Amino acid sequence: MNPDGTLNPRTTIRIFDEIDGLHVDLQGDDLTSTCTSLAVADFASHADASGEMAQSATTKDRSDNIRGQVNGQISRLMAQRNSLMRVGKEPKAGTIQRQRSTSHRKEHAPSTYTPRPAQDGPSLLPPPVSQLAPPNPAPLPQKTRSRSFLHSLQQQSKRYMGRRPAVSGPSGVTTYNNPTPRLPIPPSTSNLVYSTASNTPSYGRGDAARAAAALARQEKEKEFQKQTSLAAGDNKLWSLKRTTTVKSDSMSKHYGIPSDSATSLLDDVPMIDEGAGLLCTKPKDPTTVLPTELFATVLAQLDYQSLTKCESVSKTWRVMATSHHIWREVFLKRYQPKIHVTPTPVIMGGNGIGEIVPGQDWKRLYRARKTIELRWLLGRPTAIYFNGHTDSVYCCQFDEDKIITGSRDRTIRVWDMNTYECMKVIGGPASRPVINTPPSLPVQPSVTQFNNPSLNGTPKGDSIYHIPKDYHSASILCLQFDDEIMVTGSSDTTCIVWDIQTFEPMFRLAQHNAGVLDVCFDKEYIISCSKDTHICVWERKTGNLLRVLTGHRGPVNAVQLRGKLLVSASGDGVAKLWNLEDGKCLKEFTSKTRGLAAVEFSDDAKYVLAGGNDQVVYKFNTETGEIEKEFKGHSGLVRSLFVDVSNNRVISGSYDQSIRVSDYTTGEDINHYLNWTTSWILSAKSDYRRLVATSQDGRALLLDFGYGTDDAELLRGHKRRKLASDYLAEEKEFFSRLVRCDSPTA
Amino acid sequence: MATDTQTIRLTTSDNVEMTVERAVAERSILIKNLLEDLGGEQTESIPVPNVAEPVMKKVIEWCEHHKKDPPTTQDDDSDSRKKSTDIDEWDQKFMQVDQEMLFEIILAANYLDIKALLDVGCKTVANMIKGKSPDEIRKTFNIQNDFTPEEEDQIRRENEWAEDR
Repeated sequence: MNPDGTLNPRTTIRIFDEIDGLHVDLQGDDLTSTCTSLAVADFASHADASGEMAQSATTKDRSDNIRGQVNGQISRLMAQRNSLMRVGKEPKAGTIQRQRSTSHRKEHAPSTYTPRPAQDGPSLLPPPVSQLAPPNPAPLPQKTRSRSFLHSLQQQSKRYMGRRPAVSGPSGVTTYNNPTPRLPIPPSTSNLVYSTASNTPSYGRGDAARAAAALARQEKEKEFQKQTSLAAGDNKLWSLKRTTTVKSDSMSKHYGIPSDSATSLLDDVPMIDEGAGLLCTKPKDPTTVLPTELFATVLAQLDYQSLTKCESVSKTWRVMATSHHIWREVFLKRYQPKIHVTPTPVIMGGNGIGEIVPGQDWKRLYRARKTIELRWLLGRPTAIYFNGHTDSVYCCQFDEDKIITGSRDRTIRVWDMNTYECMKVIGGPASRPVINTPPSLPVQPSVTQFNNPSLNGTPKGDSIYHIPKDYHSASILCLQFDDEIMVTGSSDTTCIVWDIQTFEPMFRLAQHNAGVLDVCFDKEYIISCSKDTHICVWERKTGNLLRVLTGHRGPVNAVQLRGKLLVSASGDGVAKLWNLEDGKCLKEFTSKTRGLAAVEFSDDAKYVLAGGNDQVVYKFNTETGEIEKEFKGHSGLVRSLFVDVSNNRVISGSYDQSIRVSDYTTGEDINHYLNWTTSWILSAKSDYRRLVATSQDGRALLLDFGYGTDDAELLRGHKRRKLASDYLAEEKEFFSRLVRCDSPTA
Repeated sequence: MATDTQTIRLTTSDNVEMTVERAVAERSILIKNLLEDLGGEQTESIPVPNVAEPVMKKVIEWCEHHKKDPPTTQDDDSDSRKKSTDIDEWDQKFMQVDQEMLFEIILAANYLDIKALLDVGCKTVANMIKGKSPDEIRKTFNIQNDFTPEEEDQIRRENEWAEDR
């Protein structure tokens, strides 16, 4: 069975949920009325005097929010009604009915996170008896012969039943964090027969059963030949030969027991290959023909699923197929992020490929990544809330140790990614928060693991408050950091470049005459964009102004760099592509109607994604400038975008108070998280396991899809480069393991 | 550099002498290096003790077809990883041979150091394994199952995470 035969995870999991549209429409009503006032040019003027985008609408909107909540109640009821109606519909067999995260707190939460849906359907049951008829009745391993067919059937059903996971009880959390895929669904009946045959090696000896099995076997044989002859690179002549031998000799052939009459008969018939003129021969175990390193090369070409199947072939195969060496190849082939442009853009979070060190168990890493991927698909994060900012949190970035956030409260906060405590608050003396701020807010129940209270005004809170030599005198609107520096942009019209180790300012970038709405940088340049419609290009090392890019007719809300290309998005509804070397505008991407608030480049710079007041995310082809896709679903302004091409995800945060996770390729909705904070989502970023969002309600929210997942810690980034000696040691270990295992089986 | 028409002679393990265009034979890094080391006009036949004539014929056929390919560069690790198991059409046809011949070609390509051919060979075998159940793999390669049902079940449980969902 080639890969087409296997089930596609996407098609089996994804069922579109009609509730979404309805829900969103209902709730959206109110927000859209707010947002319609922010049309195109309006969008610019609404960014208030201090420069925050549309901040002036805050007060109005807070009252709107209350009304929105009332509407939310209605929509919740609607959703409930709808889901009741949906129960009436037959869920498609073999699919997981996805529970949506749209459901609000308390009422729906438990059902939302039932570890595994109950309607597992027929695939949980043992296959029908008729299908269990093994394809090949005759020679069997001696030791299993005594077991009866009935016994094996019982065993089988026990196994299937026993593996149904607990729906409640202490295992619930573990299951939530470590979801396992449903039982394998055989791609076709023929496949089912094959796989069950290997599990039920014993059966009755009656003639009738044998005859039936033989018949089934012949059918399968035909099928198998069809498949093998279709499979690329398969042996045409061998298939031919098989056809002639199937009737007389298939049993002995398949079990490797030579039948003299048959083989000699065959050997007497020379099959001539037109090209080489060769005799046909019996298939041989590659492990006996090829040297270990060559067979290892073969296995390293496989995908993880085929590799796990190889483990069950024989003991020698198992040793090979479990080797770290081969799993490393297969893992890195799948998960090592591609670098497309130089200089390398700033990396969000971790890359999730662990440390390249000797003895690394790459198979466990692979499993951890798959489990985390499954949690993204099922929408099962663990939530962690960060309390401390006393006003809207506009921006965030994170790596594997920390999250840094910037706020309208004029402070920058550094949070520990492991303890979830606030480690540092950076701001002027006037911005120091007082005790009992901010008020505590509701969290997403049942999935929230941490909601550490604010330290503001406490001795600990005072001890982490850091007043640097220089600081912003207004809201922090944007920030980016790497291993050396952090750049922040503020409504005070300047940027500050900080030393990331000390959080002391290195220099200020002053040129804009309105708030700096976004910044980005790489190894050479720092780019800032402003409400003043200009984009400034600075030299990273010195802070010298290199160029001012003009052309936008509205505030420039977002910028992003990819090598020598820059993309910017403006409230005038146009995104522009610039050549950084000569400062020329290369291309324009226009939204359908209104202003753009966020823009992202794909890693390879082939696509530009932009979102804004049209409430959709546009995917533009960089080459043609055409809209290739529209990601729909938001019912409010799309305020922030993040593209993670390695994991094929797009994260969008919106004024509709939701964070959406979409499929980068298809634009389909993977999941969305509505009302996990109590106000607008102002930024949202992600890596392979985490999603960090910040909200107007003053909180940062971490959705961790790796929290509590077995071996997730192995995926942490490497601290040192791999040396040649490490490879040698690893190889040596692998081959010695092979020798050890060879001797007992021989 | 050798002219296009220059030929060399090879003696296979079964003592058959073959005349091959030098540029073709030089797809083999082993032969290329050997010729370079010997220098000048090569008049004597080069012994290839590990490869029999029928296999050598196939290998030469492949080299003929690929003689104009750009020389294999020292691919860096990450690049070669990205390559899929796609095989071009001609190579696919070329590899439609007896299973034993397939293995012989792989062994010869390895011995003669023809990386591209070795790659195609390994990918062809990989494609014979891909997407198959353990039982199907056993049938494809005539392998005896030496696991007890318990062991088999244990392996299957260990790999449950890799099943389709």
